[in-house]
Amino acid sequence: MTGQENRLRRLLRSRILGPSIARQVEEELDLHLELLVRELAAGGLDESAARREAAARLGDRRALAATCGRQARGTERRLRGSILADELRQDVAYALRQLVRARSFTAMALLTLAAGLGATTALWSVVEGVVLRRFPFAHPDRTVLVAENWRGGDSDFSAGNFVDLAGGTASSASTASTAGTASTAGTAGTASSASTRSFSQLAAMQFSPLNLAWGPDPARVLAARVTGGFFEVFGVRPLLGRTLGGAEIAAGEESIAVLSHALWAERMGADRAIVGKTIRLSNRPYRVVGVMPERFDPTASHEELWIPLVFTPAQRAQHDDHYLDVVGLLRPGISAQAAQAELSLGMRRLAARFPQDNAGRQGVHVASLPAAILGDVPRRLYILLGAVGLVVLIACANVASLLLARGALRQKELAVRAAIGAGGRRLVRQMLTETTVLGLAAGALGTGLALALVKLFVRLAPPGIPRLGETRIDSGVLLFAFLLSLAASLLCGLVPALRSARQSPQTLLRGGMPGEGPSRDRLRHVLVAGEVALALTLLAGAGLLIRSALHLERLPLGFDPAGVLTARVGLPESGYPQPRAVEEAFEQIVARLGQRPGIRAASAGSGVPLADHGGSNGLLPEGRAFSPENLIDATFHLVMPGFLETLRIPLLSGRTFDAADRAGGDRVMVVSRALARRAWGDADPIGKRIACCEDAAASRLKTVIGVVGDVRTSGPASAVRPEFYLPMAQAPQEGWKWLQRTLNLVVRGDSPTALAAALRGAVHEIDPTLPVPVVALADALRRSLAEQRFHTALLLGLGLLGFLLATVGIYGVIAYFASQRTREIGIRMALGASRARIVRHLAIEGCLPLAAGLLLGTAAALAATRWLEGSLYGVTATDPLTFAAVAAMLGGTGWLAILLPALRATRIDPKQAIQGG
Amino acid sequence: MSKTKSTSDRLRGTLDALILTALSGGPLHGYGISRWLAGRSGKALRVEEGTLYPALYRLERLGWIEAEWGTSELGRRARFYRLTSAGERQLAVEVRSFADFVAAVSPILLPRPAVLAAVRERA
Repeated sequence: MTGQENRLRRLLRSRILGPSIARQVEEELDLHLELLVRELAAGGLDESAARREAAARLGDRRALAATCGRQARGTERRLRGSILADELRQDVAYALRQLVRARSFTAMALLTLAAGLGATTALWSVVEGVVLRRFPFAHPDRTVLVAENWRGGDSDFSAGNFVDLAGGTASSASTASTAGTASTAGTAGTASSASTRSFSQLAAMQFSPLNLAWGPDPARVLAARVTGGFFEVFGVRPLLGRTLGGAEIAAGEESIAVLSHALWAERMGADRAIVGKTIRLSNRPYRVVGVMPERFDPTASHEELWIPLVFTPAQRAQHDDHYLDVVGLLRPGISAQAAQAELSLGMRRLAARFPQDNAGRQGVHVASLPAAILGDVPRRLYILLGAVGLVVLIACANVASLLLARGALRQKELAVRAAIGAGGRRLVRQMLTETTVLGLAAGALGTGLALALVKLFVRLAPPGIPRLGETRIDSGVLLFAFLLSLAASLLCGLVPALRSARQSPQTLLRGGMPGEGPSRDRLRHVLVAGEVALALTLLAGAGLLIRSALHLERLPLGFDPAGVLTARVGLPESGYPQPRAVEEAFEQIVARLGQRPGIRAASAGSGVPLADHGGSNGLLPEGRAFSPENLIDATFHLVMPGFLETLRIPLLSGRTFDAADRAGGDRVMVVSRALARRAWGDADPIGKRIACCEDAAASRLKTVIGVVGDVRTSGPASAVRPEFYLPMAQAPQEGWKWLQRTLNLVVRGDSPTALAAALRGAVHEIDPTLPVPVVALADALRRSLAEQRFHTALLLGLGLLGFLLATVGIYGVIAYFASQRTREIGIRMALGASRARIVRHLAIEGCLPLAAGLLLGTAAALAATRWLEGSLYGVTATDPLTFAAVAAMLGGTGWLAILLPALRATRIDPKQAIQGG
Repeated sequence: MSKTKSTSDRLRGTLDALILTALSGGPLHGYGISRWLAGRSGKALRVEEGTLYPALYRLERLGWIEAEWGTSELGRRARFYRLTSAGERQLAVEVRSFADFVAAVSPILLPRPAVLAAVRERA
């Protein structure tokens, strides 16, 4: 191989070093001409005739020379290419030999890099799968979520508003449903008679928990009732059968259903003959017309089946009851803003037409559906990706310092190579090849690690990250890993390589000391400062999240979740047509629960913190004008007796409900402290009256009889909202309809298993077909914090990893440079410097880059922690305590990492140090 | 190399084969190659300089031959061409291809009286 290379090299050199290619061609042709003239002259022609003849035989010389020159240049390029390839082969072989020889260095560098690259690759694949991958809709960029804008915030649509705004789109939607093979997504727009210019489809959906009777166990399933055009918004083909047709929904067909893949596979045994069969949902028959494919979860709400949503004339006229989610497909070329402007105009017209019902409605909000589904997830993932990137940078700095140390050991080898003719550029290339081989090997190792890490991440991650299950290591991720490995190789290798090649062979061969001189010191400073700064940024982020987590743990929830179990139970309309029957059934269930052993308290309510948030309502304190500004939006609870006591929501003043608060009696209400303060400030709220919930003047006003503590409904991270409680006994007739005949049973006791059995038993004594999904509030609390904890744990893990790497790195750099200065230290000691003085000198010198790193890191962290703001509770992104603690931790450890090598360096015999070099 | 060649491929291939053959005996400069060819064919085959040199440079680019400066009989610098191992392999391919061509064409052309007369006359 070397013989071949030398030959190629010689050939190339003879071409490049000699005259230009054109001159060489001329020279060759000249010689040919000369020899030809001689031959012709020898044949008897006289000199000039021979010249003429020879010139004629050569023909158009300029063209000939040009053709030859072109080919010659091609030859030159080919030679260069093969030499380069040859050298690369050589360098790689050489690099492999070197890496195998320096086993401990290789293992150390490989592991450090592989850990960083693997973690980054794993996280990138999560980002790609969750954030970057196209949503499985026909037109993800045109698929939007539409909400009413109520006082600047998003609110659900009312049926009246939806029908009036969507016009033809909603009622007669598209004519064709998505039949088995053909997706109508492309044509749906033209088929629908949308009365809006911006949308080709607009559809409303309402989520209803229903009881599914199929097989031995009744199950509670989440159904989405959808208007025509819903499936056309997404344009996804059904796996089996067809979707719900807009025309049939418009014609009033209510008894057809499309199943989700999960429901079909898990509950119906993936029966391919399911289409055409009838299922019963809350005692009503539905004919199955289709099954959707596996990943069809269009709004990430995990609904399990879709049934038609048909509005009654009364509902179409109702503008005040807001319970619809609306999705839409924008027409091509229409922006979300344009669509929002058009619908907002219509909304303001509706607000003018129905000023009572639409008080406070300022327009609509149109947002990209994929963005709405992802929510805060991309920010969190990018923070983690950034943190992992910092770890990689620290790992690179460590490997660079290892390479520097090794470069010093290899100075002689390099000097020999340089002396026998390897040019500086060639040496740099060779060194870079070595780091690249190292980097790519680490990348391959890291990719293997990433496979395991992704699996781990998906398993440990809390629920709520959409599409996480779809994360995989695909070709895009592999390309990312490859490029990242290359970048990391260059990052660790470039400076050490340039540095090695800059030494002149003479000094090195003569045994001169490397590592002396100001540029060495500068490099050490940069490396130490860089590692400290990176680690500080990481640790500051982790520290802030920990402070925030501690704050959340200490926050009072406002109720006591320990030992409380809850079950959301809904009674089907067919078995309980009368509100009275519903109420009696729940009263019986709660009464039976109360008699069971092991139960200390039992009740039921329309909403339970952590489990079911219930709805909200606008409240108007007595004596204030009806205007949007005076309305107080508060969470509404219809409760059975003992509800507040069971949850241990403390009574602050007044009283809670008792047996006297019955239908026909004074209408009473218990309010939360936040509501009392909003409504009446510091004045005593007891006895005050406030209007809510019902239209009839007689029942509108309720008297406040008690004030209870505030409750963080969605866990510690959620804000306190105004809440109010009404006794079930005084609920209006339509109350059960609002609640869809569903209440949350709550029981308190010592044994969760006994409580769960009691809940099921008490319900099944009343109706054995009812599903009873039991949830322990303690579990729900854990789940509410799970995402926060997961995020914190990951960032803390990365922070500690970065801290560890940086400490090892700082120690390594200082130790290496100290060992390089053995001779200098020896001379100083020989000249009478005390050990203490030298240690002090080294320590002070080491502290400069440490301090610079702390300053730089604080600045970087201040800039970086801004991204954490959304994840922080009870602590600001620039919390001085966290920053000080982190800086002290790093500074202290860093100082030790500087002091120890300095101490060791002075523990030498001066004579030996000076002689030994 | 494909088995069937167009006429121009055939001609070019033949010239390539001739040059490679000339060099199989040892390094030669361009003039030497043209002399060798003329001598071997009894002066019947004269390769034009306008064809020879482009062919040489082309073969060099293909890596079948390589050139180095040496000293000619006049004492002047001359580019000497030499067969590479890739060139040797290529020569074998060209020879075989030519043999195939002759074998395919001979039964058609050779029995014809006119051809026979032409051959006899040349001989």
